[in-house]
Amino acid sequence: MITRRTFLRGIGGVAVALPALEIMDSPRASRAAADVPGARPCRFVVMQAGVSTGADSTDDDLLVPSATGAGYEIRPALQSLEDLGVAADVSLVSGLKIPWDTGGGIPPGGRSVFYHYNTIGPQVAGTATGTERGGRPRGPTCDQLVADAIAGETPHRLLTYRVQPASYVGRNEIGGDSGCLSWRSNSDGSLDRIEPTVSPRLAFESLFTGFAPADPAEAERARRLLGRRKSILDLVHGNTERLIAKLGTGDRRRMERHFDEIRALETRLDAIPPVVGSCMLPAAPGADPAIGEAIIEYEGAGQPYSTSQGYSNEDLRADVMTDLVAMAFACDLSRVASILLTEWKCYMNMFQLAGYESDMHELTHNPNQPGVTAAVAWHVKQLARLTLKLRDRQDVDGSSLLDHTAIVLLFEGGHGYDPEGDSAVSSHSTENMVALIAGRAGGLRAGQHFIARDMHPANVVISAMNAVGVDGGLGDLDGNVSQLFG
Amino acid sequence: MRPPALALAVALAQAACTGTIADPPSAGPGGGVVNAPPLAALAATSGLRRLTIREYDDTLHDLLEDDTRPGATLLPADVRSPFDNDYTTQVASQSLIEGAELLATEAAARALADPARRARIVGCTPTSASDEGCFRSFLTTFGRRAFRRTLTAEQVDGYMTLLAFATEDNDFYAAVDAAIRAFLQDPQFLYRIEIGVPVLTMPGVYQLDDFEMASRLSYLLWGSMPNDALLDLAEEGRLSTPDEMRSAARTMLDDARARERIDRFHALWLGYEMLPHAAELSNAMALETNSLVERIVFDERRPWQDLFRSTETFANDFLAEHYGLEPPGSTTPRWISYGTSGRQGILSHGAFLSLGAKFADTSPTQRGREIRVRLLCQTIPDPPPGVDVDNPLPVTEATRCKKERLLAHTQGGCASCHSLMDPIGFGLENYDQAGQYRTTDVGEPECVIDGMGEVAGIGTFQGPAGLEDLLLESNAVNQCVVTQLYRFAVGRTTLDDTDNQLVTHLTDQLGAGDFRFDDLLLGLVGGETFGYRREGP
Repeated sequence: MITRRTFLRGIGGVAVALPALEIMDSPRASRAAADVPGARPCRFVVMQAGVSTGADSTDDDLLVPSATGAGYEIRPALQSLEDLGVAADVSLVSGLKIPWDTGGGIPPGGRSVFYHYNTIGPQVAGTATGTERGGRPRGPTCDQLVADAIAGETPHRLLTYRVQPASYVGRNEIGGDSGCLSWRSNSDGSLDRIEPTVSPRLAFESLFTGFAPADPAEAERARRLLGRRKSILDLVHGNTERLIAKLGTGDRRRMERHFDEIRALETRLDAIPPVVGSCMLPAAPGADPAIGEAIIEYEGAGQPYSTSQGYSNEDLRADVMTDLVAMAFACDLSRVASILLTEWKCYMNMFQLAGYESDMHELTHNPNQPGVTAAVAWHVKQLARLTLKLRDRQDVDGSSLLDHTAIVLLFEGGHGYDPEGDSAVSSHSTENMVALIAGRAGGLRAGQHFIARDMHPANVVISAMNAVGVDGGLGDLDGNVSQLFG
Repeated sequence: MRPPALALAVALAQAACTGTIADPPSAGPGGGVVNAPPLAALAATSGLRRLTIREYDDTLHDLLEDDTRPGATLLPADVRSPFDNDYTTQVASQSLIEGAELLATEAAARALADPARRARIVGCTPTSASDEGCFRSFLTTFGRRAFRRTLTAEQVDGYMTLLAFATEDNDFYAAVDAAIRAFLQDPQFLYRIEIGVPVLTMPGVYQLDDFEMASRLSYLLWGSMPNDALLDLAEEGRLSTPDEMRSAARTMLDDARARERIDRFHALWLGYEMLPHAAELSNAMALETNSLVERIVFDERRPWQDLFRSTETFANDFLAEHYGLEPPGSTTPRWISYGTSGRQGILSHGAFLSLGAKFADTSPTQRGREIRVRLLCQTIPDPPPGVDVDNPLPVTEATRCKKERLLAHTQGGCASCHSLMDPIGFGLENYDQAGQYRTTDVGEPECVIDGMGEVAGIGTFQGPAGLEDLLLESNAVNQCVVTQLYRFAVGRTTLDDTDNQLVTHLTDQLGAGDFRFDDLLLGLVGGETFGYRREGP
C-alpha cells in the first residue's frame, strides 16, 4: 500500500491512519469493465516537462543508459526509478528527434528552428509548428483523442492538471496557451485550449466531494448536501439557458461553451455513487501550498539568489495530483489524464528541490549538467510516483492497475545540435530526445531501454495510444516504436 | 457590418463641427431604437467579459464584505497583453466552472458565519425559518447587486424555491446560503453581459441599457460592481445620456476605488504590476509610483504629462538611499526633491526601470522595445529565425563593454529593428534594473556608460529625464495613452479600424499637448459612443 504520509503533509503533518484506497467489485468498476466489451478499461497519462535533458556546451549525459535492453543502468537522472522500485515498470526510449526546417520547409511533426515553445505541439499533438514563434498544437492533443476513444461513461472524461502554478518570471502568471497541454478540436475544426486544474484542492474536490462517508449519519448529511448542490446548479443551468437565448452569435458561442461545462458538472454530480462502495474516499489534501513569487534576477545590490521565491511546493502538488490520478483510475472516475508538470522554459527555483541556486532554465544555459540532471530527475520522480501508485492498486479483476495503463513522460528538448544558434551541443536541441513510458497496457514492454534512432517523441506517444487501444497515428505522424511491443 | 468609410467621415465631421447632442433615444418598432448620435457608428465591438481575478476579488469584497481575495488560487490565470482583461483570451473550462462553484460555496459560508455581517447582507430579520417576505426582500436587493441589474419577478420566483432548504433545516440562512452560492456561480455574476437594443439605422450597433451602462462605468472606473447609488441611477433611467454618464463618473472618481483602478491601469500598462525585487523594495517602488499617479490625476489634477515632469518623488529613507537621494529622515514616505540628481518623472522610478531586465542586468534592447510598444504603441516584430534570444551575446576581449557587444545588432538585417530599440535603452543605461544610478557596466569598471540615447525618428536624449522631455516635446505619447486606456476600457488588445477612428477622435478632442487624465476618462465615458456596442463575430 502506498504511504499517505506525503499526502497528509498538507494538513499539518498529523499522522492519521486512513483506510487505504482499494477497489473491489464495486458496481462502478463492473459497469466500467462492461462498457469496453471483453476488456478491462485501459488508462492513459501524458506528462510534460518544461526542460531539456542536457546543458549547453557539454557532452556529459547523466540520463541515457549506455546499454539497451532490460535491467538498464540507473543513471543519476533515473535514480527515483530505483528508489521507488519501479525501474522494471518503466521503459526509456532514447535517440529521438523532432525534425526542423533545414531550408526545405517544416517537416511533418517538425518545427521551425525556433526552440522554446516550439516542441510541445509536435510531441503531444504530432503536428508541425508554423514558421512563427509559438508552438501551440495545431490539432487535437493525444489525451483528447484517447479520451474520445476510451473514456466511456466515466464521470471525468479527462483530467487536465498543471503542477507548476506560476511562471516565476515577469508578471509571474502562466496564462493562455503557455499553461495548457491539452487542446480540443471543435466541430468546426477550430481548436480550444483546455485550461488545466492547477489547485490540488480543487482537483480533489472535483473528484471526490459528494462521495459519501462510511458513517451513516455523515452519509445522510453528504447526500443532502449533494442534493442541494444539484438544486443550486439547476438554477444556474436554467438561468444560463435563458441567457443564451438573448445573446448574439459570438457571445452565444462562448456562453454555450460555459454552459457545456455546467452540464458536464451536473453529469458528474449525478454519477457520484450514492452510497459508500469499495472505492474509498481519500483524505482531503488541505489548503494548497502558497504560490511562489517571481524570482529576483537582480544581482546589482548584492541580493543573493532567492531560496524561497520561484517555488510553490511543486513536489507536494505533484504528489497530490499523482495520488488523485491514481485514485481516479482506481475508482474508474476517469481513465485519461494529462499533466503539465512544468511550463516550457521552466523558471522554477531549483534550490528547494536540489540545492542549486538557480532556476531550471538557467541551469541549461549557464551550463550545469548535474543541475539539469537534478531537474530531469525531479520530473522522472513524478512519473515514478504515479507508476508506483498505480502498480500498488488493484484493477477490477484483482490485477495491478499498471497492467492496463500507459504513462508517457516527455521533455521540452534533448541534447545536441541547435539550428537556431548553430551550436553543436546545446540544450536548445531536439536531437537525442528521451521519452519515458511506464505500464504494461496492450503488452507494452516495461523495464527496457530502447534506442529509436531519429524516431519522433510522438512515436512513443503513439505507442502509448496504441497500447490502450487507440489505433492509428497522431497529427502528421504514424507508427509506434515497435520495440516497445517486442 | 462596418459603416462605409465615407458615411463615417461625414458623421465625424458633423459631430466635430456642430457638437451635436443627439435627440434622446426613442424606441422604434420591433424593440429597436431609431435615433442614435452619429458617433454611435464608432461603437466598439464588445463581447462577454469574464471578471478578471482582480475584478472577482474586488466584487466579492463589495458584495459580501469578503476580503479574503480567494480568486487567484481557484480561477484560471488572466493573460496579460498587457492588460489582464482581454476577453478574447478567455475560454470557459471545467476548472473555471468548478473553481467558481467552490469559491461560491466558501464565500457564502464566510459571509454567513459572522452574524453582524450576515444581517447587513440579508437586510431583514426573518420572523421564522421559512419567512417568505424576508427571503424575497433579500433576493431582490442582493440579486440586484450580484447581477448588477434588477431581477425579473420570474428570476426571483426561481430562487424562492430555495426556501425549502430553510424549512428542511429549520434555518432561514440555509436558503440564504444556497441563494448566495447560486448567484455567485451564475454567468450573470461571473461575466459582464452586454446585450443592448438594436439601433435600427445602424446595423450591428446596439444601445446599452442603463444597467449595462452602470457596469461599464463601474468596472472601468472602479474595477468592481456598481454600488447601490449607481444601480439606483440605472433603475431610474438616469444613465442614458452623455451628461448623465459624465456626472455619475465625476462622483465615482472621488471614490478610493477609482484611485486603485487608475493606479492599476498604469501598472498593467507600464509593466510594474509585479516587481521582481525583495518585498520591501518592491512595495516601496509600487507605492512611489502609485503615489505619483494619484497626486497628478486625483490630488492636484495636473496635466497627465506631469507624470513625466515631476521633480519630486515619494520615498522614505530606505527608498531614497536605494536611489542615492537625500533621505527625508523618515521611515514613512514623503515627497522629496530630485534636486540635481538628474532624475525626473515616472521613468526615473524603480518600478519602470525594472522592466525588461535580462540575464541579471538591464537589456537596452528590451527597454527600447518596452518604450516603443508600451509608451508609443508601436509594433516591433519578433526576432527572425536564427536568433538565439535565450543566451547573452558572447563576450570577447574586444567586446567587454555591453555597448560594444550590442554593436553586433547594427550589422546586416538586425539593424532595421534594433536601431529602433537599442539606442533608446542606451540612454537609460546609467540606471540599473532596480533604478540605481551607475556609471560603469556591472563588473567592468573600465566600461564607462555614456548614457547617450536616441529615439530614432524623434531625437537624442540622455537619461530618463531627457527621454521624458523628448517624448513630451514630440507629442508622441498622447495618442498612445488614449489607445491604451481604450484597450483597457473595451477589454480587447487588438483594435480594428472603427476602434482606431474613435481613438483618433478622442485624441483630437484632447488637443495637442497637455491634458488631464480625468478629462480623458470623462471624454471617453461621457462621449456619444460609450453607450453603444457593436455585435462581435
